[in-house]
Amino acid sequence: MEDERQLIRRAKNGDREAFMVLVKRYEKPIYQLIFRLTGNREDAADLTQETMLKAFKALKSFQEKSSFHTWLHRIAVNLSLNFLKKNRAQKNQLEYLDNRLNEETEFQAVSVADNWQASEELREKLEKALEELPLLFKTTFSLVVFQGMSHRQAAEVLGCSEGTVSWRVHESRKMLREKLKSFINQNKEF
Amino acid sequence: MSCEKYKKMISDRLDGNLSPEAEKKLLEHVSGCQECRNYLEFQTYLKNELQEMPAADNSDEWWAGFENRLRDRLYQEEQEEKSSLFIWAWKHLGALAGSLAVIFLAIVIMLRLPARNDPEQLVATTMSYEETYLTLNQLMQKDENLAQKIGDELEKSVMEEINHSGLERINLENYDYYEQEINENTINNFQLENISLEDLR
Amino acid sequence: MKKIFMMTIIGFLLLGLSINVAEAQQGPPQGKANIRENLFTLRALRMTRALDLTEQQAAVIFPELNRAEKDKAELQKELAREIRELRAMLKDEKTPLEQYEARVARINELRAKLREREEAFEKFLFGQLTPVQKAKYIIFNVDFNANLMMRMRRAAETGQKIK
Repeated sequence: MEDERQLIRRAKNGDREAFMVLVKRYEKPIYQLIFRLTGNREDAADLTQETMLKAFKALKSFQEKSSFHTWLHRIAVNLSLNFLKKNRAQKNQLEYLDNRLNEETEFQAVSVADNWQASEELREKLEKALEELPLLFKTTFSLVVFQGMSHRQAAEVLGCSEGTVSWRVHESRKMLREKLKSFINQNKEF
Repeated sequence: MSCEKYKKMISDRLDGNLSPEAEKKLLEHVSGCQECRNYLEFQTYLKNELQEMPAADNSDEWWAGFENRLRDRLYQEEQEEKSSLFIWAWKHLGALAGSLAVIFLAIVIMLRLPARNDPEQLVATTMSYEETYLTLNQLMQKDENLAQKIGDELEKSVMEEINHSGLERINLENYDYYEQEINENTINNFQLENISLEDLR
Repeated sequence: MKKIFMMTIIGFLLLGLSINVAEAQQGPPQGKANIRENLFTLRALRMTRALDLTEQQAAVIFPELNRAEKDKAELQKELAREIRELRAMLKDEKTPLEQYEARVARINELRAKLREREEAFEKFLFGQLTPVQKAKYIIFNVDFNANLMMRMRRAAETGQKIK
């Protein structure tokens, strides 16, 4: 497998085939990430194309201070967020925080391992809960949990601090738990 | 430390972002706290479920089609860039020619002026502002409209320069929504992390 | 701090200009006096920015800049007058050759004085600048003059705007 730096160098000189090798390496994870954000296959396909096109055009100014992986993900995230900003209403982040402070959360003292089976119903609820996460939380959560990035890598992609990444992922997990609370309570007998 | 702080440590542990010392403290707490134990079990289960969720995948044929479409677009973009470069050069030929004329004029003036022995080679002997002004003045004496136009533009340029140099601007168009969010949760982050660090000592 | 600095500069420039305007009673029409003044102001402001002058530098440079401008504006006025008369002389076929000689000599003398005054100011200026600022001044000068020429050319074309 050709060294990535060599491929980047060749692609910078306009070698389209070298760039396509890079595309093949990253197209699937980028598509997965964008699909997680948009929830739509067509949009994910279009935005993945746009990401690759933009990367090719911007390659000359890519200084390789971060990895190509991080840089490409940054382009994908920015394009997706811009797309979603234009196309759907954002949940107010502050409203969410106010609601969090006012809520009293009760979690039933139930042991997990014995009582839950991997079920279609849970998966559906989980998908819905993920879909409903506020966009920036969903983006951060996707990068860390689905893309397997460290907090530091995700922070680089998003242009924020590691602390912010850590906080957003934590809050996302709490939100998912809240959204699944009723399902969990119903299934506590099992 | 409250359970809320330990729950955040649980989240960090799941992401592989917890130090060994903090993990030791966490596990000590969890062994004695039912609520946190349940939370840890649930979030661990959730993480495994999420990672096993089927990815939105496509067939090999689909990806081959995707790559071909991308290749075509890359080729198209390249061709468009080449032709737009040509159009840009053509449009700016006038300006380019003008700039070249200015440089040529400067060289002529420089060569025609008496040789100087001054080692400092002061700029006044080359692109003289006063020589340029003299030319401008002669043109304006012949054409009142030109004088008016240049006068108006200079006034605008002066005001722009003053505004550019001296005044602060808050450009609301560039206000970053995400920066707002980061700034607002920074206090939250700080409190959480600060207390965590204190308790770890 | 920056605002105070800029206001100081503008103050310096306006003070210098008020002296110019008072003495230009018999000079060219008000419109062209404004052009000279505005050009001076614009050049001074851009120079300050291009060279990144400190407050201390500005405090020393600007009084001399004003004095140089006053002298050069006078010379330019006189030069414009001489050239006007030279044009008139050329239209009159009966003009004696000695008058041509005298006028051409006078014009060259004025041009030389202008050049000397510009050089004198630049010598003074260079004495206040760091090596980097001197280099920046050269580039600034070239760019400003080129911009002036482009401004002339485009103003001659209808509806064009120059920054």
